[in-house]
Amino acid sequence: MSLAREIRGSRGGGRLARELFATRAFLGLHWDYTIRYLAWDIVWFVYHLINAFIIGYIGISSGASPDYVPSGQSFVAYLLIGAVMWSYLSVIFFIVADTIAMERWEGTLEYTFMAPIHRFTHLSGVALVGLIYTFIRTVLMVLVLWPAFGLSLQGANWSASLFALLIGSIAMTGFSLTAAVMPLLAPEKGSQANHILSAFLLLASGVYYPITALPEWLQFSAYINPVYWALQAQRMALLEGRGIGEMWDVIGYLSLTGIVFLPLGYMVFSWGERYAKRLGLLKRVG
Amino acid sequence: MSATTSNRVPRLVRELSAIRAFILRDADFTKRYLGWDIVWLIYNVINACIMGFIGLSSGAQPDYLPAGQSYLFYMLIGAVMWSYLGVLFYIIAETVAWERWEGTLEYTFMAPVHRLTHLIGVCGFAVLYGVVRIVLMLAVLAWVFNLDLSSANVLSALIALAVASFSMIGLGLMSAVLPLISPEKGVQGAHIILAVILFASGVYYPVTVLPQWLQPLAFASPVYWALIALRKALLEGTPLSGMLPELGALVLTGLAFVPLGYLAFTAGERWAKKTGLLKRSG
Repeated sequence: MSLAREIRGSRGGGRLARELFATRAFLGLHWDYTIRYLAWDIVWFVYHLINAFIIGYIGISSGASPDYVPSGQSFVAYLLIGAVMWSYLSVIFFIVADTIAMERWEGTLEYTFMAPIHRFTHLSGVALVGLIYTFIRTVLMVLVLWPAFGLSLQGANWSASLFALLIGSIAMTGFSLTAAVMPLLAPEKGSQANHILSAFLLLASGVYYPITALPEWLQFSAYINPVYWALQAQRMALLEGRGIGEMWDVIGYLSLTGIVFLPLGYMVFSWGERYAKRLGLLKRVG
Repeated sequence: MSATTSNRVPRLVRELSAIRAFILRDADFTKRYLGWDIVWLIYNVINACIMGFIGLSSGAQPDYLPAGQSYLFYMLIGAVMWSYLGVLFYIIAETVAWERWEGTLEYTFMAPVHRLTHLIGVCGFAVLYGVVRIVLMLAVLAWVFNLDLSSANVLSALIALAVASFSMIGLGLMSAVLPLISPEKGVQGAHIILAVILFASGVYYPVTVLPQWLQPLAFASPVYWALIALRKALLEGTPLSGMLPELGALVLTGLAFVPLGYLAFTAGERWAKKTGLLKRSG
């Protein structure tokens, strides 16, 4: 069997098995990255944890009970959900959006883009790593934070929360794919642009306050980003104990951002790949 | 003029010229990585805005605030001052890591300049860089939140900031030794130290909300005293005479940390030279 034929696969089933195997290989690759940079992963985890503690203590020390917090719930819980969810979603964003920058850093970008695998397989592998990694971090954060602040999650609707988390993760992956193209197009400035984008997401998504506190011209950007809807859904599920049926509108908007951003992100990324190959940008490191 | 005196003057001039050279070199580093400097400045501005919006939206008026002052202003002072002191700490604590990254560490440590000269140059640049950033941040925040500084005692605040910078430099020097003795884990160690300082120094809340076992840590941190002094000056308009205890504590932490940091750094340097760690990059 020729190499080309081998690559293409003699049967559809063989191809599918190989693509699934490649997805597993990307999981293994990113697992190895994580092990190699474990000390930095621990540093960022400690940072996110301390940041969440600071936000929690702001809630306690302010003594505030704003009217946007559901009755019977504490401002601290409202803030901590913001801190933990932002940590979860921002890690997905950075793992997916920085995948190109990371491969360029490791010197594997050209090999990955020339490997005989579908780009969808590659990106699915990266997204899956992001989800598994950030899910483990989030569970650890919740296990530390909630007992530390003496908060209870009784009354939370877990199935609705997990469902919203899943939809939010898919939507965020799509959004991040549109950002992942930047380091592909601009080796120097792309990664920096993504950091600025993530900072604006944090500012304008109502992570720690309702978006009505923002200037009007900024409020609009919240409606089109998945972080805002994911946070709304999580607060409804965890603070008010609402089921999926009671927040279908928020879940609907969240799904809509996923339906728009996932194919859009994939198309933009594929276009960026073709452009980078034509201009020889894969080989550049700066 | 004796020969000794004539030798001393050129030496002093040479060391001053070396300080200028270190400041210019760090300015060139900044120009090379200007894109990232802009990114971190935007990050800090947005972080301060977020703290401001938390203060605004919560509608809180905690009892530890001086009468008539807004919670928004309290939070913004914390965010801006932390940004300044944090940058100061990072530039100094990461100076060895930077030189290792640029491949100049061995040359700098073998150059015929006094280590004090080298470190004064690095600290001088850090202060200049931090001041430029803080001015830019204040300009943006004043525009976004319509800040009114008319009742603030700016002179007291500037003096408190200068004394605090001196103390923070000492802490930075103590942490700068970590990347010197551990090329792999030193920078990570410095990041964690800074996170703990942020957590325990009452940047956004009084330290009394922290667990009791953590509170003594604040008293040893210059950031804690600096923030009390700056809030007194900016929120209450307190003159220097009204914040002598805080200034005294800042001077005391500076007197403890600066010589301790310098001693630790020079001990680390000797150890790194003896064990051949200057050449390693990982």
